[in-house]
Amino acid sequence: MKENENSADLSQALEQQLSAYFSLYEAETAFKANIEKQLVLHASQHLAVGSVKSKKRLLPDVFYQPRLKWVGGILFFIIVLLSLFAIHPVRAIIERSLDIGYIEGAGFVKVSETDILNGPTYSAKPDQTIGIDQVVADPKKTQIWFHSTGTKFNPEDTNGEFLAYLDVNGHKLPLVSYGWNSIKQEGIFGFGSLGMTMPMSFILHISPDWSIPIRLIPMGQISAGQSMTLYPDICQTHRDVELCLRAFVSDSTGYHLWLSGSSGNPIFYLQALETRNPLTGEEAILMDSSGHQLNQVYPSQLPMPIEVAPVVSDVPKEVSTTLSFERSTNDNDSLDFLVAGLTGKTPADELIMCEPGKNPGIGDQFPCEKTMNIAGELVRFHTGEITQEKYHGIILTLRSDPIQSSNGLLLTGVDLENINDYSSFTIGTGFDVRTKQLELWFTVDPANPETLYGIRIIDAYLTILEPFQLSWSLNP
Amino acid sequence: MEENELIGLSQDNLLQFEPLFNRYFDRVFQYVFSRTNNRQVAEDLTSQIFLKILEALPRYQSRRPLAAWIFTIAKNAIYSHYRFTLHHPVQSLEEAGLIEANSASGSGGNSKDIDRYIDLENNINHLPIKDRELLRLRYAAGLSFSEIGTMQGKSKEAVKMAIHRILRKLESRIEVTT
Repeated sequence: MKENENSADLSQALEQQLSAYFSLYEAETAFKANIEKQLVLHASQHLAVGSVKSKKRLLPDVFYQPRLKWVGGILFFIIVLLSLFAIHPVRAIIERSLDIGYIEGAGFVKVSETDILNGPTYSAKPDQTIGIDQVVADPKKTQIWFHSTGTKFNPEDTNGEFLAYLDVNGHKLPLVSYGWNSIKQEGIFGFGSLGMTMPMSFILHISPDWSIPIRLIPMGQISAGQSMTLYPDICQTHRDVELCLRAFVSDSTGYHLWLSGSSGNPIFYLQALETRNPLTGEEAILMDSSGHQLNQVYPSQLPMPIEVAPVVSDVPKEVSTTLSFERSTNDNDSLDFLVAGLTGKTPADELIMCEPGKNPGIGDQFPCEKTMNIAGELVRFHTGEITQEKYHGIILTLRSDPIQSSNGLLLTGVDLENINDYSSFTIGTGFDVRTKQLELWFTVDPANPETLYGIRIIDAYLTILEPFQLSWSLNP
Repeated sequence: MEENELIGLSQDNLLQFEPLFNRYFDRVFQYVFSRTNNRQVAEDLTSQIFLKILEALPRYQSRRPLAAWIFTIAKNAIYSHYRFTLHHPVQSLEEAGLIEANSASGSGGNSKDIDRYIDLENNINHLPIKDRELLRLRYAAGLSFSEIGTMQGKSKEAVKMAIHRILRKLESRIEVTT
């Protein structure tokens, strides 16, 4: 212990036993080394993003000089006008604002100076398969997304050293970063630069047993069979949340939409684009001009988007996603895209205390009256109930009255924080779609039946009830 | 190097996070593992916790002790995990393979030690949840009384008294070997 505390009155022997007992819960060395590498990778990416964000300016520095700002503005305006009339009018604007491309299997990537894999590459041995999902190479770095099935993947030797490297025309390009998600069984390798543009083919050596030849193609050559349109201004706003269609890609596998959402509400923010309404279960729908509805292609077939513009912010307000739909046999001239509702989050500071009474038994119900305002919604809890659950043991559940919508937003869940004295009882939350009831539950400790259960509601999840409908013409 | 200097270094350059990581890794892992009793879950949660710490570190302010801040993040990560994972089987030391693994490696001691650990575990499991949490924060996370107090909004003395009572309770139930 760090403090020089007087523990003479405590049993030193028991304290030693407790320390020894808890030290049994030790981590494996390999895990510690792996997490350390992941943190280094994460820190490097964080720094890289910060550096790009701080340095990236669309125009030369002269345009940002205060005294020359107006001159710069006029010059820039002239350049834009010339572009509009001299080149393809819409394309000029789009390319300036959205310098991205779409690749099957990769999603949307930055167009400039990027070489990519044409499709997944697999390499198999009797007990393991490694699939290279995508390679994105530019003069500064090469990143390889991969997954593994079968035996547990471990790219390290017995000393914990990485053996992976790229063989580029006989030159060894060492691994500089590595990330591995053991749940999804997928990872990312990062390699440095040779100081020149990467060649189109090289060999990935993961270990002495794994050498996978990789052949890239330049971004510019992948447009065959695909038509891609970028849209700078197809957006719709409800409750200060804007949903935009950024790009539409049509290829043999279907239609792929890149959507982005952003919140202009200072407290309401989006963490992810949930294109399924938690109340109605409705999915995002794509519909052609004749009313024909196209079905969404489910996640196993969705392209894997590479993050185009990572958002580094305390409060995420901008998110993007891609959705794929099956191809229509009709000749479409326009399409509608409908999202039933979007879910965002807002801070909500409310306290609820509940006392089940002495020696509560299974099946007992007791009053727990509390009406609170959570993110503008009036929520009334009235009764608590003690039940038994297979894995959690005894549970105390509080249910609210049905929650009525207001202002086009509906409360659909909350984030909780335990505020009791040292207690560590488990708390959970849910929202019953059918009854529109919010449900809070606590694990009850039978050895300590008189506990007053207290939680703080720290965040509220709100769903926007109005549907977003984005309409666009395919042949402008 | 003092902890404040390490924090300053890391806040200036996240690639300098390693010394802080080494200082807290074992304590965080032991705390999480002892809460979840499942190695796989503990590894996933510990990864998440350190990523959160890394991301939030530039905004950390030294008004409260770093240890209290780190273990609040850890505690919240565990709550989130339980919230989204309703069915989470809890294992004993033996089921988690800890006693076998440690006795094989020699760090767990002999069979007498093992019996003592099992006895201790049984008695700890019969304590109220809040008492178990206090023991974990003190002996798995290695927090001082005042750091625990900061986490829980209690005075150092109140925490010390509470732990003292728990130890008394445990002592009355088990045979303590000196």
